[in-house]
Amino acid sequence: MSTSGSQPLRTVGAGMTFLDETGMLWTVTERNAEDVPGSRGPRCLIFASPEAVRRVWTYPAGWRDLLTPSLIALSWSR
Amino acid sequence: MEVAFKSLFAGGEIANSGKADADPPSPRAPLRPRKFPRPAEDSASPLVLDRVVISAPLGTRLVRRSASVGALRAANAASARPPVLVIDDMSSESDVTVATLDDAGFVAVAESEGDAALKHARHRLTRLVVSELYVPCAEGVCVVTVLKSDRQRLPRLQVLVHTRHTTAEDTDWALAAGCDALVPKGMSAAVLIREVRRLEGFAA
Repeated sequence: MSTSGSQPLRTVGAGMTFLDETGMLWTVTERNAEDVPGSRGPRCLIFASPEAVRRVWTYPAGWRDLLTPSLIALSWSR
Repeated sequence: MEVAFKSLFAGGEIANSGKADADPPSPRAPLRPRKFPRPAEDSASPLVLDRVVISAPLGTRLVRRSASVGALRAANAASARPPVLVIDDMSSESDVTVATLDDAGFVAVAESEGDAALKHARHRLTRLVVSELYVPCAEGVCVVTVLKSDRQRLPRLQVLVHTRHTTAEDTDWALAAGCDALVPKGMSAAVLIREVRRLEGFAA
């Protein structure tokens, strides 16, 4: 378990970008999360915009196939 | 090719489907029938509902045997909306955060030191924290890391980092520390409340 939190999480595969309903640009990346304190799985999704960052633990393996409305919905989940 | 979001969850493969992502057992177990003990006739329990003597003669005032329904509702409401612990070493900034949360209907309390925040969270079994990023405590260099590591005592804890440290390295640091969300300081109150409400749903 990480004790410092200082090591950035390794990105897994390619990320994606989309615009939400307000025109805000979001990037989605899958990150290695095994060493994250309180980890709920080996990987997580990170949704990042200039306003906020969200971590999502439960997501479909084929998340890169989702269209924007589904990605937006996914960003609100856990 | 678009794959329906619901069908992916319904029949497809789910990432992080192993044991590690299972929710910890909830003491509230919402799907399990619950049996509540019937209070004794002369019980002084504050959870006894109001009792009305229907056969009382006209003009007789209804008798309230114990705590009011309002108190019961308040207790239920308190359990449904978890209080928010604000951790910030800059009191002027935590005051703003607390006021913002209060205005949105949350009950927020602030701690300026990591050790006090840890004690508060563990004593109150806090489920929702809004914290500045680099607040140290005796158990580690960052209180967020220590809080998120304590899954045994704080299994449902959700942490939103609300920080003035806004570089990419700071964000990476916060994610590695275990935060569930991050909002840079300077964003509107609406953005902060929107993200806190998102986490509130997971903490309840």
